[in-house]
Amino acid sequence: MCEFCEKHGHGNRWYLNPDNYSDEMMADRDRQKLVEEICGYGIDYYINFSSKVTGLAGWPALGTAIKAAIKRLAPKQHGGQIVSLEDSLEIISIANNFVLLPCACKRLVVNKEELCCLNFGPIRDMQRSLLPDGPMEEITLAEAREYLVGKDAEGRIHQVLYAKAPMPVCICNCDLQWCTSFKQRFPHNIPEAVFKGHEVIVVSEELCDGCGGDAPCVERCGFGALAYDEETGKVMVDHALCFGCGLCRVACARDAIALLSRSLVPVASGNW
Amino acid sequence: MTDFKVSAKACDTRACGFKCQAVCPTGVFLAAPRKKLADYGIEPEYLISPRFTYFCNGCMECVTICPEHAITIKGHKTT
Repeated sequence: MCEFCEKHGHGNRWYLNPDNYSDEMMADRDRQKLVEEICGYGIDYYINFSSKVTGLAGWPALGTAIKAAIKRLAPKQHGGQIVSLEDSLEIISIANNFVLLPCACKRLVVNKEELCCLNFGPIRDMQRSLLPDGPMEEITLAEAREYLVGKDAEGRIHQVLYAKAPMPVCICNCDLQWCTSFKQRFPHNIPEAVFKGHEVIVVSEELCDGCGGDAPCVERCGFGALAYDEETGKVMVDHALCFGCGLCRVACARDAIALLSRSLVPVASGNW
Repeated sequence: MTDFKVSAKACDTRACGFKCQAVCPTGVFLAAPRKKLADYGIEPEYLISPRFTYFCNGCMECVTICPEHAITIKGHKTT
């Protein structure tokens, strides 16, 4: 259980609690303001500001204080957590008003436009009012499902983003290379930028044959959690590095990789 | 980690079309909005900012491609 689940999950994962998707959540004035801020071109200012703040955590003297401030303030802002394909499919079965929007990270970091941010809830109407002629594609639940499965096969990481915890507003289908969440997390180890998922992967020793030393799952992992062990001829997992995105499962030809709850693995439990 | 300097005066993103971003293999550059506008429906003007220098691998592609010679890495500068 991560800290959001303890507070907002009611015994379930925070993003699977239907209460968090209700219209009552939007009665919160701070949340209304934040949703307005992250729609349209507002997200550009937001990413600019947040990456400046997380960059300050590298300061030798004030770094610790800034990290503590980020930890306290991040849940009131826009952040996220990695989810597996199964969880993201469950999320969209609870949510409504789906719309595909261009990924802001990709637009700001490589100046490319790709409609790969699956938004839901209040975002659609807000985006319509701010950028009526802007790029957006409204899709149905069935199309959204197909879209997520397709992106998963392509090797895109799913991340559920909240607008002031615990209201989920978006599942981004991320290219690890351009994602500004990860760019903020890794340099100074700020888990609030993007939390690890609720699961880690386990590789079955019986089924894994290492694909003859050229294991495709090792390449698929963007976090360096998988490695081919030449002695045993199998793939090994470093659970401390695994984010639980489950993308390596698609690459595995022998179905040897499965997800296991993070709390059951000592190295990974509590490591968000 | 690499020391980066992008001179804001020389950088003209509209003229070159974000060439340094296209060429950077690790995504070091962020197009930062120059000034906060009150209306989020209007596209802001961008300036290139080397925000994620932690990921720089020192390939120097951005230095050679910049038409304004606005990017310097650790004292290196093309003339």
